[in-house]
Amino acid sequence: MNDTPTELEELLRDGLDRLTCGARLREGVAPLIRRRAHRVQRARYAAGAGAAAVITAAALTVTAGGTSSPQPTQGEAYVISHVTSALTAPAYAHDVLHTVSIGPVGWHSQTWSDQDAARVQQQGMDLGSHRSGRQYVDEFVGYRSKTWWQFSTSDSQFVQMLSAISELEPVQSLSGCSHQQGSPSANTNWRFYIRDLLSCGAFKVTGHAHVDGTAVLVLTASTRLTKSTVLATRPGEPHHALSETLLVNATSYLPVRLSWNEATGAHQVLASTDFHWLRPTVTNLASLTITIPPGFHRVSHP
Amino acid sequence: VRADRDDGLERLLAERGDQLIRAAIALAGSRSEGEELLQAGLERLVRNWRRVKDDDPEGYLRRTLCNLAADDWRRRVRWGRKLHLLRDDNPAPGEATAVVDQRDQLIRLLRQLPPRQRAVIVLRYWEQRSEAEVAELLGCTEGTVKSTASRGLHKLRELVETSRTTHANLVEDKS
Repeated sequence: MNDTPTELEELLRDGLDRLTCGARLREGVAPLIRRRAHRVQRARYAAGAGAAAVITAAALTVTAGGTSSPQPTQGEAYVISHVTSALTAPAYAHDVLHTVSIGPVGWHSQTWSDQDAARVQQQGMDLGSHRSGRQYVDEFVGYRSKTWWQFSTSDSQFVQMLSAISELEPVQSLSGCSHQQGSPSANTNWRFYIRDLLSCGAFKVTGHAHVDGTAVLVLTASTRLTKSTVLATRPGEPHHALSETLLVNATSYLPVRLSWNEATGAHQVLASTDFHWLRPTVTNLASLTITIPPGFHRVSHP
Repeated sequence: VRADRDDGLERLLAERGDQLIRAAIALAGSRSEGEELLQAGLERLVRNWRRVKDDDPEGYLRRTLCNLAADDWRRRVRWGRKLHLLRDDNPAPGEATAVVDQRDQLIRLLRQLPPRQRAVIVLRYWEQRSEAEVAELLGCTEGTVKSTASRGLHKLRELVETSRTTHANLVEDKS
């Protein structure tokens, strides 16, 4: 494969031709799409009603004088409203969010993020982006290849990607929940993700627990979803059963842990992410940026 | 309005369905994700039919597909796919010696590009659209299209080189 763009472009065209070759839209899709669109629309209206209930519940709480201690009778609307508020509260706006995720087959990753920077560390690589004056600096370290690159730009793709998450209209699933598109990736913007997750109204408050001595409320959502779509050319693709558990601090309402249990037939995937909300100390802020290890060689930015 | 929409959707899918599913597959990088992408686009088309019916429903749908693909519409990567990518980075010794069709390998590497770069590459070099057309579809400037396409190709060449080097090293280690 030579480096000449012409040959690369030619191979790309051939490859995409092969990928799409023979793909045909099966007949009778239009009515299915319409039915699904109606279901999604109804779910949206329902979600809108749910959101209104959340706002009303919050307003009623304030009118009643509020309470700082969690009550066993707290309903979904109350808890979800407080979690959503906590995620956007000025008190935590400058905190460094540190996440530790584990998945199947030893998969693990860590992220650190605040308003101006984000860093993902996983499986032999470190990828970060931070603001430096009026520019963003993207950095990458590959620990296996012992390479690194750095790139300064005013329109960092990485930061754009993170901010785009907040603006993107969620893809609606069969039940109207946007989170059913699967488990998040390492570079998920967690604040937005959890707000999205709760907005679909699938979570119920199912109990109280303690995590490392901290009282938490347990919210769970369980649903069946399909990987296949109504357009699937291979009917009968297995359905996924997805259950999610969100633990939130019973006092601050900040998320403490989110875990997934996704099952397809006999195959089961377990994964979880722990959230640590760190004060913006010098040490914690330093975690947001990558230190290039000595001896690594610089390569050009991709 | 509903009958008009139903007729219009039926007609669009009957006449252009195959081209649309192929475009969605190319943008998404796989058949199953292409199907999901097209479905998401069609649902938006149905929801906004009243607004776009007199304009150009297919144009709206194609713009939606491009934008959904460029904005990383799935937003989240399933653990399975993430693991698959990681396995690609560290192929087992047995897999390293397998003969891989360059074109298929390139498409796999294409999936590793950021969504916007991937969308620009597909629109420019597969759909053979002009920079101006791509810019209009994605709602950006021609300059952005040009630089994104250039970066995308550059990144692809690097990925190809990295993949080739890793492959060669593994073959060497094995021998």
